[in-house]
Amino acid sequence: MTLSNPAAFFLLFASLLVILLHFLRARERRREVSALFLWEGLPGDPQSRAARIRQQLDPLIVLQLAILLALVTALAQPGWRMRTAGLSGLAIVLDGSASMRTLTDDGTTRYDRAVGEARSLVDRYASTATAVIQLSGRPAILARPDSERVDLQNALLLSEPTWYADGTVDALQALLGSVGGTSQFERVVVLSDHPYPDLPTAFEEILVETGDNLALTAFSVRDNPDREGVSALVSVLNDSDAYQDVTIRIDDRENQTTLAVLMEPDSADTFVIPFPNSRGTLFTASVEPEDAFPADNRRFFSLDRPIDVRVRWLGSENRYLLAALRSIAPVTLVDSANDADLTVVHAARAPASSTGTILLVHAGIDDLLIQGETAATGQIELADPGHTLLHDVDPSSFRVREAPTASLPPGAQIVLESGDVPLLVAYEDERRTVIYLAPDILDTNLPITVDFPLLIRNVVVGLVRLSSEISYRSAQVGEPTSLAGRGAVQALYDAEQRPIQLPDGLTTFRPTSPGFHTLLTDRGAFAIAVNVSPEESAFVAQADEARSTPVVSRSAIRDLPLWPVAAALAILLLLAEAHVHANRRRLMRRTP
Amino acid sequence: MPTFIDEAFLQRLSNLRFIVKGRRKGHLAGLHASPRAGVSLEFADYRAYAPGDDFRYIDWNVVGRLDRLLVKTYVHEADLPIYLLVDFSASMGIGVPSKAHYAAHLTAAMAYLGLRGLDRVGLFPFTDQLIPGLPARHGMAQMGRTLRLLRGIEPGGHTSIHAAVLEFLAQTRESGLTILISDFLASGVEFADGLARLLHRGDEVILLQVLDPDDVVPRTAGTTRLVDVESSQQLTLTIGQRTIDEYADRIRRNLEQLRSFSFERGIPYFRTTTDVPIEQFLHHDLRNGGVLR
Repeated sequence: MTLSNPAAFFLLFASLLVILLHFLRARERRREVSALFLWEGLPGDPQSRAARIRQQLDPLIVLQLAILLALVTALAQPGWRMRTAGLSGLAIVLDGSASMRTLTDDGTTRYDRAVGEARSLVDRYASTATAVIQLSGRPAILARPDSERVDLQNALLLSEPTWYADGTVDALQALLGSVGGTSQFERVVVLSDHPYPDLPTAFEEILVETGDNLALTAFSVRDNPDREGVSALVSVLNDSDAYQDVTIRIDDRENQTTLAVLMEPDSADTFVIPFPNSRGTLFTASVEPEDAFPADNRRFFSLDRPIDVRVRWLGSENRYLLAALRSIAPVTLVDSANDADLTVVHAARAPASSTGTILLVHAGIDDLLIQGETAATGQIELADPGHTLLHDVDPSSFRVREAPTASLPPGAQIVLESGDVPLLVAYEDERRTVIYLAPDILDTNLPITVDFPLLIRNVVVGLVRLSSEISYRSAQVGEPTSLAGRGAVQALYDAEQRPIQLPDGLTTFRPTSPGFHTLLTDRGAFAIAVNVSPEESAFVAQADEARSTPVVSRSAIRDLPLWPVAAALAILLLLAEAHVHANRRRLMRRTP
Repeated sequence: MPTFIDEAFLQRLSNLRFIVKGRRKGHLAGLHASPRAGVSLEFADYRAYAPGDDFRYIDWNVVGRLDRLLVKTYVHEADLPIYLLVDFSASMGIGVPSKAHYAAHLTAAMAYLGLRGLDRVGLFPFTDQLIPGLPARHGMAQMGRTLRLLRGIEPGGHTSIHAAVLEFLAQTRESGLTILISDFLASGVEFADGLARLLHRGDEVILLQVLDPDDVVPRTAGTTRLVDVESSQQLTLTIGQRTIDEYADRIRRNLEQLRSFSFERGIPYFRTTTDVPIEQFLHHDLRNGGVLR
């Protein structure tokens, strides 16, 4: 016996009212008779059984209480749980995709609601072999048909929704096959927040709450062709029936840019948002206002650059120069030229064998660039105003007291000079790229100008960017993500900095949660942006109309409802009570 | 008072008519034998011819055989005034359906039978006095008047059959068939004097007693305040089976007293209860009792 609405039994307290009214009525009955003389002188019979019973037990009160009990029982919606031969098995399929994390009105998630439905199904079919499957991009069997009830309930209670995209019906069929096949399960109940259009008709669907959603469905960042910062591409979905004032925010951890737009109901649009002052590598796009499913209000993207600069330092230390470097990116000092992204030579002479990217500050290279006598300098002149080294740099604020002369190699490009003294030179051949800053920093005002870090940034940015074939990519939760092209993998951490174990030699992994993952290789640290599948934010309104009504269980008749019996009993008792009442009125000889 | 007579019911009564024991001196032609000789198909006697007699009634066979002029006389079939005295006191309002309702139904049936037998029917409802009723008249128009009057009467007041009969006698001079319908629940036979006067006038009296089943066998128990519907007197009694038995014995004696009184005076007496169908009472009790045929 099950009760769908046991709270109805609180109505039994109304019986107190019925009893109270019964006792409040006059205990002495009044009866009109045709001739009183026939009764006069008759002996009373207080001890008679009929009188005693009548005093103690009024049929009307008994019937009224029975009516109340029958009505309350009917309201409690009792059901007779039947272990029927026909129900050979039950499979409960929980949608474990990311959208099931959406909060509902009562503060629980859609997944919690689905688990609640599943638990009631388990209770209803307590003696039926039941399997529980979590369907998502990585479907899983939570409980097999031979599981104990306790294990079944625990599996449901302990399960959590994933960050994966929706699972496929093919995957579901395969899992059902692995636990005995579809034919073993007479009922297959899918609990989800959206219908599966290609679900077999024999399967039942119960939709938990669906609601409005505002989402970022796509996000990427690209370098502007002129290298003036980046542009962000954002797709926004307004899956609601109302206009939405939407603010899109792009954050590169240093700077932000925003765009405010008005989104039409049930619309999707793509925006290109310029971000000219950005030099970041890790970008987060967010959309406001935030809704009940915040996972798709935020998406991540990384320009696949190393997130630290490995520097080989030659010569004396210079904290101003090092600070300028560290303002651009984390700096790791290395000893080997092979490990270095950048070789900084300060107040020294680098060997002629130096290769790679070399920043010479008041320094030279044997056989290539030799400094000469120091000469006083005056007005700084722009020899090549459009050079990339001068992006965002205003050299007019630079002051240089003196600088050495230098013998420059053929092909060297003077960017800044003062008279005949070259101050900033760029040189590039097949072995190396050289940036030469002639003066001793202490003979200049560079450390106290805002343009000095920008100048150093322009030096660094062009050096360490990786090839485009592995740039401009973001991963999705559950999708195989390649780690190739970044060097030998040493470690991988998720967004919570929890290590992800990778088998030796494997350069592919499936992210399980969104956020910036950190990959450490022999070439440095890389950020991998992982997002929730945009399918989790897709329109479901049209599909809702098709199959939004929860499918009534084909096997519901096995849980035999008893409330009609109770209701019919209540009606019969009511008729009986009316009959007894009318009969009593007649006995009382009321004058018509 | 609800409608209590319909076409089907009347059709089922069509084969019934009153039986009158003696010959009545009716004014008008009817279906009942009259002490006067008259014109009918029923032969009565011979008498000597007297001048002025209709030649058509001379029995010429007798003349030829005896050489005497004798005239055949026939029974004069006269009409019969039927008086319906119906008790509508408060005690008749008891029961579902009430005794008054049952009595009215019975009265309507009696009136129909009388009028259909070409008799004059008068209705005299009463309590402790006569309620304005209908004097005896012929014709089915009287049926309509009877039904309208019955519908308009509500039970109420005290009962006094004696007073009502005396008033009835004062209002009617011609004797007839007087049908008295009441529950006759009175202490003693207080109506004996009134009935004696009716019989003395030459009325043929029939008593129809209508009771509620609970008048005979009460179905109640427990402490009960009994209220007399007519006098409003009250009596509180704890009723048990012993009380019921005593009551049943008492009313049995009361009914027996009424039956003995009727028997001694040759008055047909019939008792029915409201749970007995009217037709059953008419076709069974009254037919077997020689009131209807």
